Amino acid sequence: MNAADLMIINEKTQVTSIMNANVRTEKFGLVLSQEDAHALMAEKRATLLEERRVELGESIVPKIIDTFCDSPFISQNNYLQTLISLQRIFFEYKNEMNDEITDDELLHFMKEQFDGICYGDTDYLETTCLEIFASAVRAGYDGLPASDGSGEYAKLDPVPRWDHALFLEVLNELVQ
Amino acid sequence: MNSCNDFSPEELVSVVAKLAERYAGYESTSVSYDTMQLLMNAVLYCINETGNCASALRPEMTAQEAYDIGYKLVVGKTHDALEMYNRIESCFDDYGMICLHDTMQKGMPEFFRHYDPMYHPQDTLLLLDYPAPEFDRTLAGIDAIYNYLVCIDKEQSYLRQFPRGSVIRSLRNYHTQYEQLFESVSELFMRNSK
Repeated sequence: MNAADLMIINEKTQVTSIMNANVRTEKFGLVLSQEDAHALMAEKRATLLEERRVELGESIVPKIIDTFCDSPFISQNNYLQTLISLQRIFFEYKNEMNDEITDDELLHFMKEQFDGICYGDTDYLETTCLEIFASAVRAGYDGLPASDGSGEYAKLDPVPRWDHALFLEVLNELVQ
Repeated sequence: MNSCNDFSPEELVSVVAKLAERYAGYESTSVSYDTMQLLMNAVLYCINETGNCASALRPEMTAQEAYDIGYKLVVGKTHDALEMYNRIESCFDDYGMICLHDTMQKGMPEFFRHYDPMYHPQDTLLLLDYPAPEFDRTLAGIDAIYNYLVCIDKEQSYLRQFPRGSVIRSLRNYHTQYEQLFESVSELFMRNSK
């Protein structure tokens, strides 16, 4: 068996695992076709080449699907395109953080910001949230093992977000 | 099996992939090209170690077997080198030569503290400034350190045959500040003793 055969077998296995994920995502109204799975694989190959990374066997795509499938900002209309963006961003930031972060930590962080801060905007996730977080990780930020990537951005976010007390104050003024 | 060239790239890549999973702590499904290259060098180093050990060679050996045996040889050689270092240290004399002192007393302990036979066996870590006689500068990793210690051991045994004072005197005759030179004590002694 040569390298080309191995790659074909590996790709078939990965397409199967992406298709198997449909069973878990169907309840959220998200389904990928065989063509979609192949498109995802092709995009991943291009990203890995661009980011100069190698996958060690198991693909990250099913994990991305499982992490993001319950997001209120993903529908069948933008499902494939969002997955393509997310996997590109994932590999980009594995490099940007010098592999100082595990897959799970990065995915937890991405999901939390995608739903909570970015409202489904992958550009904002990539160019703002992850940019700030990656700078902190490169500078030696080590709060990750305890949090597994959750609740990290609030500590680093320079933008004042929703202030619950202020909201109630304004609401009270309006009511009076 | 005689060398890494006996294995196909696919076989070697599967050994590297296994090592890479371990390197990533089984918490990352991908690694960078640089990491992959570094680990490929580690695998090749260990396989070459097997190739250089006649007693470890077996026909029909897989790349994984060759790597596993080579890794054990590297670990064993590291233990042997440490034992040899401790033995040399028990009666070591730097004859006032600063670079010999620094290499053996400061550098070597750091090497044994930081050497990583699993992920960086090919790294020598030390510059080995002191020119030990007959040291093979083409070697790397633990092979280099082991060979270096053998050379230092021989030199120390040779120098011990002479009174310390006469060695120091001949070094001083060669240069009043011989301590700062980057030259071999035994070679200077042989050249300058009358």
